[in-house]
Amino acid sequence: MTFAFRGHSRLIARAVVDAMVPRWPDFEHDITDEVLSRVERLIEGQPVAVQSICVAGLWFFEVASFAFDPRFASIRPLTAVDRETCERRLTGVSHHPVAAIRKTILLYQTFVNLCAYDLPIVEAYLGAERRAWRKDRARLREALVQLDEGRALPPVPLPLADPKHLSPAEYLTPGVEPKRINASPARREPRPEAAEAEARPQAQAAERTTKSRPQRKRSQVK
Amino acid sequence: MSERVVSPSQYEGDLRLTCDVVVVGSGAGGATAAATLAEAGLDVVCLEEGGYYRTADYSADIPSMLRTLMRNGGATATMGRAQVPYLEGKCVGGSTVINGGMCWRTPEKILHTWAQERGLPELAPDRLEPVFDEVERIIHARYQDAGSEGENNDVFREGATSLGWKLSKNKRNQVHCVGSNDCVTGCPSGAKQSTIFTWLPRFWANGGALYTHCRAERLVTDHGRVTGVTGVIADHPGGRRFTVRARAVVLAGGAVQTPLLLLRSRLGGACGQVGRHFTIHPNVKVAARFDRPVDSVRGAHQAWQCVEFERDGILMAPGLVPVAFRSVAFNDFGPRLAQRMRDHGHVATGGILVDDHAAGRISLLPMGIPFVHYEVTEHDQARFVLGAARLAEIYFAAGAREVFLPFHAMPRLRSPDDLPKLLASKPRPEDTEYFTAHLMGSCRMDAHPRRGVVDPDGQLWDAPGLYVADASIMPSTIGVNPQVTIMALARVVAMKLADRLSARAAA
Repeated sequence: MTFAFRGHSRLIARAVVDAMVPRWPDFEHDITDEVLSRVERLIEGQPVAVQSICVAGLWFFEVASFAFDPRFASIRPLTAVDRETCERRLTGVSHHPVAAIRKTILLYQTFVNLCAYDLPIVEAYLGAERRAWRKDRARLREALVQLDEGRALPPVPLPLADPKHLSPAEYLTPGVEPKRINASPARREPRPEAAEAEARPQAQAAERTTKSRPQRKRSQVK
Repeated sequence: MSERVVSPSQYEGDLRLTCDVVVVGSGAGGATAAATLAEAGLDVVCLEEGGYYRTADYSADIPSMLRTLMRNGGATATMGRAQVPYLEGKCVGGSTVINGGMCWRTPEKILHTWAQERGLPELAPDRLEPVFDEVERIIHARYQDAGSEGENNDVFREGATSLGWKLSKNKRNQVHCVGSNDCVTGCPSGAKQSTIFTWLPRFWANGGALYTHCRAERLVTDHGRVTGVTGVIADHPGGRRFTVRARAVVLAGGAVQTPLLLLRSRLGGACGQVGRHFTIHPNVKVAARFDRPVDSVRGAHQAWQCVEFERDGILMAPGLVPVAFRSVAFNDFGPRLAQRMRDHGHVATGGILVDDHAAGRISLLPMGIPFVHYEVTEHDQARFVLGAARLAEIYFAAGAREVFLPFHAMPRLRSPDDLPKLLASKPRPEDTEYFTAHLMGSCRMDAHPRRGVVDPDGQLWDAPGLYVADASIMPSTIGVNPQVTIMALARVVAMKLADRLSARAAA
């Protein structure tokens, strides 16, 4: 079932998210609506009871958060004050000495931070772009695995029924020393020091090749 | 190798199956048990509540992956003075898809305790050693390739080394982990060897079939014997249901879901132990800001652990997570957090794990609402404070300028001179931000029917035909990452069950 804040709840939610999203002087993007939409998707994944608590929490902020403003500037509802006041009030809630009050905002704080700092434009601004990094890593690993293909691999462990394997009878019989499994003698461990240096040209070559031929499906388990 | 994964779109109407053994869950316990039973020649069906997602499906969109791979989007928490958020995998592979991949054997002192105090000699270290050997080999437990660890691990190791504290290199179930730093939302390079790459291919190769989106609701009994499981087809419209009849049922839904299923089915209640003795290895996060850059994007989650205080039940480790998860480590938001996050390239993160002495409880409230209760004890809290101080020492020794703590009353240390103040401040559990992914011991194994839910074979004392093979049967907390322990116990339970069913068939 889809979840979306409706009516006045949406206005409160937007005010809360707007106060919580990161802002930097040289960061020109307005990410509030995108983060709000992602927060809704996260709340959608919660049980109905938690969804109701999330909406109830918003109304608590709307009508009662003025009490947590250290400057106590106004008793107007949250949606009627400017962003700075809104942020001050919510900070007052999140740093309140009473744990139960702090906890009311923790879920929103967590959701908003996760949804905001995961945005590609925020990651790029912070110099922490993950998407390109992940692709680069996947290519490198593919190359490392290809390097292993010419080497002897450890045997796939044999099924229980095979006598070479540890059988239930061996294990269960008291006093019988279980047969130890041979430690993959044929295995040559990858040469870790050289691995990356060795794999990089491979990865680049693999990348060039994949552009010219269909991707080969390969099993990860030998 | 064909992956025998059946989703609800591949069949119409309700699902009715009959087999030798039905395994509920496909994580560390379920996949191990399913593979072991299938290898023994039994007809095995494995049920999974979540969907089947492979490497290509793990996107960089964290909120989306939280929803896809975890129960309640990863936002579930225990109740008590302090709420402890916990993660449960809800996908094929279960929590092995979303864990950090640490591979630790159960400490020998714990196994001795289980053998002697719980009457479980088959879990003594010498008996379990070959099983650990085998598990580690199958899941490819090994050290990181050189160069893949990253600076977050480097500063931790540097600080601990300069203090002369004992470090231990972590084995992880990975093949050529290249430090993508995205363990928690599904390994994007395919390096992490979740059960999708290890136990489940063995299960499929031996004729096993896995059904996704099957949420088990109740166990079926016949004259006191458990003969099947029934539930709903989740996330698909039409109110479709499934029923699987079997000679034996193996529960492996994890330490929260397994007792809930037993309670809903009113089974295992005679001993009064279902849902009790629940432990969670709470952990807390610490962040440290350095003048020099600390690459926060590249590297492995935990390549090392500091075991200097292992005897006190305190483990410390670096913990590299994506920037979005880091933002949650600082208890802040808006422009103040934004300012701090600008320095993320100079911040190292780590965590403290404590082998908890608390005994939580899982129960059902009226209308079948699950209730997970857990209180951090004063003793454990004191060790968290001590552990945070020790981890701060490590970071200061490595040159940190300030250290951020999970304690509301004392969120930051500016120098080692602040450490005595931290130790004297005695933060309360409700003023501490915890987190966990290690859920254990809610249906513990014991040789005495009054003290445990399952017998040494993993079978419920009062429900023949019903077995448990997941973290819930651990007789106590273990103090280390539990993946390998879960697999070893599941392997033992499944081997015994296979032996029993095969013997019965032969007779």
